[in-house]
Parts: sequence; C-alpha cells; structure tokens
Amino acid sequence: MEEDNAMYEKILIDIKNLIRSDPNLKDFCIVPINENKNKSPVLYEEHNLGLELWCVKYVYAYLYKQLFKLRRLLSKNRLIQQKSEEIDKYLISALLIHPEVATFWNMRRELVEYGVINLDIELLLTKLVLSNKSKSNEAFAYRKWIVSKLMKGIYKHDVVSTLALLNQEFTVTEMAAQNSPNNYHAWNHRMWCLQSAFVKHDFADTPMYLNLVFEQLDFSIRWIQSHISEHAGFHYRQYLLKCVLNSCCSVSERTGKIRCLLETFAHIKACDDEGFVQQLLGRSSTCVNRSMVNFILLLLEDLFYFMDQLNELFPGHEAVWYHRRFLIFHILQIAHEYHNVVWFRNVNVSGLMLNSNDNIINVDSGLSDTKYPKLPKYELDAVESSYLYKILLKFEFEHIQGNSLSKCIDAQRELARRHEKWLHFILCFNKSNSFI
Amino acid sequence: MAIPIKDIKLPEDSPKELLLDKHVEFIKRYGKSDDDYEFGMSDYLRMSGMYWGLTALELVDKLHILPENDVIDFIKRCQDPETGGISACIDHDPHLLYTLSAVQILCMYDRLDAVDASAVVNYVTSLQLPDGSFTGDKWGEVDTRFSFCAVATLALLNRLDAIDVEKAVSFVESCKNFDEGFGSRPFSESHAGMVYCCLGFLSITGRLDIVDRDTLAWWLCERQLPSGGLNGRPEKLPDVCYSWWVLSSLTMLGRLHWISAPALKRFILACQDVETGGFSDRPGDVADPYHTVFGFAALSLLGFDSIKPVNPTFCMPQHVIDKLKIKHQLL
Ligand SMILES: [Zn+2]
Repeated sequence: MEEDNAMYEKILIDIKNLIRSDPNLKDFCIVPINENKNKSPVLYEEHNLGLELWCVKYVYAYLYKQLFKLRRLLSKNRLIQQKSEEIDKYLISALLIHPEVATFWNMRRELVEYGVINLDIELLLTKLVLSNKSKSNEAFAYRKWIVSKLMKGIYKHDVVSTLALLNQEFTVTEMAAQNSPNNYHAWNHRMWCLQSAFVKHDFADTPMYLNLVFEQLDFSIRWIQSHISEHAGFHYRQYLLKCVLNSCCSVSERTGKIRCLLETFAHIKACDDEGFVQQLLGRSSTCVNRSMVNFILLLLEDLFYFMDQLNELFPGHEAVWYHRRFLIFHILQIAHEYHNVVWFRNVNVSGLMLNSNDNIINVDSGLSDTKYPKLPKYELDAVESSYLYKILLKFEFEHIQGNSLSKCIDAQRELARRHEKWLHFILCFNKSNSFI
Repeated sequence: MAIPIKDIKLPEDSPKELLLDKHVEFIKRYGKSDDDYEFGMSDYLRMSGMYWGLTALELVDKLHILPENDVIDFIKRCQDPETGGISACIDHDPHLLYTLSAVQILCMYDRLDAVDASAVVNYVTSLQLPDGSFTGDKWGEVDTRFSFCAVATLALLNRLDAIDVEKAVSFVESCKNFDEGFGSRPFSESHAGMVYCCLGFLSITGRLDIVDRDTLAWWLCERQLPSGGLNGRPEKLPDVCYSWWVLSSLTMLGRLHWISAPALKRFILACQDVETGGFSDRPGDVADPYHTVFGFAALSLLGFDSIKPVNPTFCMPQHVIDKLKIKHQLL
C-alpha cells in the first residue's frame, strides 16, 4: 500500500514536472498498454505526453481520495502553500484522465484566484486535455474563464495583444474541431473569443475588424472544402457573414472583385458597389449604409459561386443545402430591410395532406406537377418586384431542376426536392410571387 | 457514384417488442455497480443518473423497487448549506444541472420537504445575470440549458416569481437562429438538445409565441432519417436521446403527428440490448440509463400502453405534474 502510494506520487510528480518544463507539449493520450512492465508508465516523446492504461485506474482512485480530503479546506482558503501545490499536482493528472469532473476544474479556479498557479500553465493544461478529449465541455468552459481573465488584462487600445490571443485560441479550436467532427463546443469557443474581442475593443468601424472577419471567412472556405458534411463549419461561416453587418467600413478592394463576378452573372454594369446594389434592388427609400451593401455582395458571392462549386464537387450533402437556405433567407431579409418593408411570410403547410404514418417532409406536395398550386395573388411589394428577386427565383428553380435530373445521385435529388418544399412552404418564396 | 445518407441500417434481428422486465433489471443493477473505479468515474453526474434511472422506473410503475429513504438521504447530503444549491454527489460542488435533477426526483416521491426549498430558490435566483441568462454555477458559464434548469426548478417549487422572467425570455430569444432553432448561446448553431431546452423554457414561462411554430417543426422533422431514427443536427447519426429531444419539442409545438411514428418506434426498439437490458444510442452500442429513460419517454409520447404518459416539458411522469398542478404551455 505505502509502496503503491509512493509509485502513484512519482507518476503524478513526473507529469507535473513535464508540463512545467516543456511549454511546447502538444498532445496527451492514454496509451493502451495493459500490463505493468516495471518501468515508468509516464511516456514522453517529441513533445507528446502519454500515460499507460494499466495504471490509470489506480492513479485516479488514489488522487480522487486525496483531492476530496482537501476539498473543503481549499474552498475556505485554509491551506498552506505546500498543500496547495500538492493539490495542483493531483489536479493536473485528475483532469488529464477525467476532464468532465466540474469540481476539479473549480478547484483549479480557486488555485488561480489564490495566485498559486499562473494562467499560461492553464492554457497548456487545457490544450493537452482537449488534445485527448476534444469535446470536453468543462475543459472549454474553464479555458473560456482563463481567456476572459487574460483578455481583461489587455489594455483597451492594445488590439495587437488581443489578436495574438485570438490566434492562439484559433489554433486550439481548430485542433479540437479536427479531432472530432461537428465539435459544437470548439466552434462555440471560437465564436465566443471573436465576439469577446469585438466587444472589448469596439473596433467594428476600423479596417482591422473586417480584415479579421475576411481572414476567417477565407479560413472557413478551406475548412468547409475539407469537411463538407460538417454543418458546424458552415454555421461558423454564417456567423462571420453576419459579423460583416456590424461594420460600415468600405472594403471595395474585396467587394469590387465580387461585383465584377456578379456583373457578368446578372448582366448589369455599375460604377460602384452601391450603384450595383441599386440596380439589383431598385432605389431604396431609406438611407442605405455600407454594411448592407457589403453583406448583400458577400451573400450573393456565396450563393452564386461558392455554393455552385460545392454543389458540383459534393452532391448529396444536407449541410451544403442548409447553407443555401441561410443565404436565401438573409438575402431576402436584407432586401426587405433595404426597402424598409415588413417581410410577411405566411408559413402554411396545410396544403400537405398527412397520413398518419408518414413524415411531413416526405409527403407528396404536388410541387413538381405542371399545375403549380397558385396562391391568391396580391400586389407585389418593392422586394418582389425587384430585379434581384427575379434572378434569385430563376436561379433557385433552375438549380432545383438541374439537381433533380435522373443523372443525379438519389441523395442529391432528394435534397433538391426538400429545398423546393422549404422554399415554397416555409420561406413562401415561389413562382406565384413573380411574373415568371 | 453513390454517396449514402449518413444513417445506420437496423440489423435484421433487432428487437421489435419492448423488453420491459429486462430494462427494470438493468436500472436496478446499474445503481449497484461494484466496480469502484467505474462507479467513481460517474460521480460527477450521479444526481442526474439517479433522475434518469428513477424516472424510467416510475414510467413503468416500478419506482418502489429501489429504497426511497436512501435516495432522499443522498439528496439531503448533496445540498450545500452555504448556497442552497445541490451537487451531483456528496462533496462535489453544487450546480444547476443537479439541482434540477434532485428537485425532479423529490417531486416524484412527493418529498420536497426533504431539502431546504427556499435555499434552493435563492441559489437559482443568485445565478441570473443582468442580461437575463443563467450561469450553471458561481463560476459564470452561460448556456440556454441553464435557463431551462432554472425555470424548471423554480416552476416545480412554484416560485417562478423569484426571477426576472421577462429578461430570461429575451436572453433565450437572442439564442434563436433564422431556422427558428436554438443554440446554447447567442450565435450558436441550432441543436435539437438546445431546442428542447429552449422550448421547455418557453413552455414553462408561457412564451411559446416567440417561435415560428411550423418553421421550427419543419426543421425538427428533417431530423428523421431513413432508419426512422432522429439526429440532432444535419448530417449527424441518429441517436435515441434525440428521439426524446426532437419528439418532446414537436409535442410542445403540437406537431407530433408530423413525424413518422412507426419508423421511429422501430428505430427505438432496435436500440434495446437484448442481453443486458437498457437502451443504447444506436443498435449494438452499450446501454446506459440516460438512453434508457429517453427511450421510454419517447415511446410514451408515441403512445405505448405499457409506459405511463410522460410530460414533454419536464420529462417527468404526467401524473406527478398533474398532482403538483404545475402550469405550463403546450401548443
Ligand atoms: Zn445520445
């Protein structure tokens, strides 16, 4: 027993020392070695840390007991320095092995508050934990707590330090997102970091803001192209696109390029971005700000180019079609805002006859029939009579037709059919609203 | 080129009947695992584990097979005398998640007297932030799950008046996306688990009017895959726990009939473990109490006679909610 405890202590000290001495540690994992070969179960190679499986059970049971013995005293801050350092040592291994235990993270928070451990070590520890358990909610929550402390310490005009911190968080979230697909917590963390930086420095109207957003938009294109079925990646892009709305900066270098692309597509020519949007949507009765123009151009670029490319390369992906929904929804929404008219959607699915055993999504809607269900027609509003509305309708319905052909794979045809229904029943975006 | 939809195929020999007795045995055994290490590993969520197991038992009228006094005693010992919050396990830190689980268990036993209820109310109230959101504990993590836990706990204690409900609603509303789904915080992706929490929250606060019912119901129905199972987000695999989250959400929206019930039943039944008893996330995986209670609850909503009616908002037996006269809105 005594002997065993000494061995566990040795393991815990080794791990703690490795973390303290190598700030470039990359990775932690439990190595599937089931028997004790009478050598140290702590493995260290090329900045990677490992712990052999056979000892995990015993080490954890040992430190669990030690930690709860000291729990009360710690929370009352009644521990001498030496005991606090002992707790630090136990906690490091406890969390590497089992990061879901909130109480252990809370104990570390207390150590931070008492000034026993410094924040840099905490960034390293959470990174190691996440390298092994990439979806750990508790590890991300703790990291967020640490990052907000670090961010508080940065001066309000020191955007450079914040950007450095952001880059570090981008690296960690990218690693976690690589390790487990559709990693909800990783993407949330990334968005939270960006959002916190925006709030702290309130720099939306400086070019730096949009540069940062564009940089991330470019990253997201690369990410999506290699993770096509991960809706979480698309969602991140959607968040970034909406960020564009916060800034009234002109970024004509970027938007001008988009405009050139779109001009050929829409067969119109304009001398600037504002003029182009005016040709698409008509003259607005309210004052149009730059953020709207940027937003519209980016959404259209995504819809007409990026989506087309993805659709060709990766048919049959729901995530791709869902992003399309986002784009159309927001194009229509911003168009209504542009004209300052209320967007009235009369979501009405009563046309779908349900039999008790089917999912409403699969009920035949009769939409593909030549007899199109006509809605009673009212007068067209400024959005519905715009040039953009017409080309959007045409583009969407050609897209649906093109992806419903017999040469398309089943999954793609099914998604095209769903898209048509969603446009019709949920978005109320259909041919009866136009002259086509 | 054939790219199959991300889904599973139900094995030919998967169970087609409800193996009720096996599940009862499974839950009973689970509470008494003698593998210390495994047991210690789940301490951090023990209170919720108990809520899952006990609710499953009560749904099939077998609550009495576990000793009530031990359960009540455990809960008493988990209430923190300082804050009033309840923890997952003795010596662990209090948290909203486990505070709700404990209150749910106490309601089932009609033993709310066992804890200091006004201290629980104070604890919950202390966790509301100025923007209306709730943190899970004093360390400040915000999540719409915690908004649900807060109002559900207070509603069960009949003390919804203790918080700023209006602000709490506007926070939840700020987590809504264009597809009418909800994420865990503002800007987060729509996720069926969070949709359940937010609809449950709105059901309790009587504000289901803030969602466009059919737009969200449509998104929820699109979670059903050819196997009959439901996923929680696009292109994810089906999972029994999502059967509950999606189905209870559809029930709160009054759109349960929009989904294919026979296909879903087939999927849930196929997730039973014929040997050990219990349900797993997907056919062939290891069963656990979490998927077992959600499997039961989903089957109950689908009208299984052998399972008592479940309340879609609280995930508790309907008769408990009726007896306590807990108000909530369903469309
Ligand atoms: Zn699950």
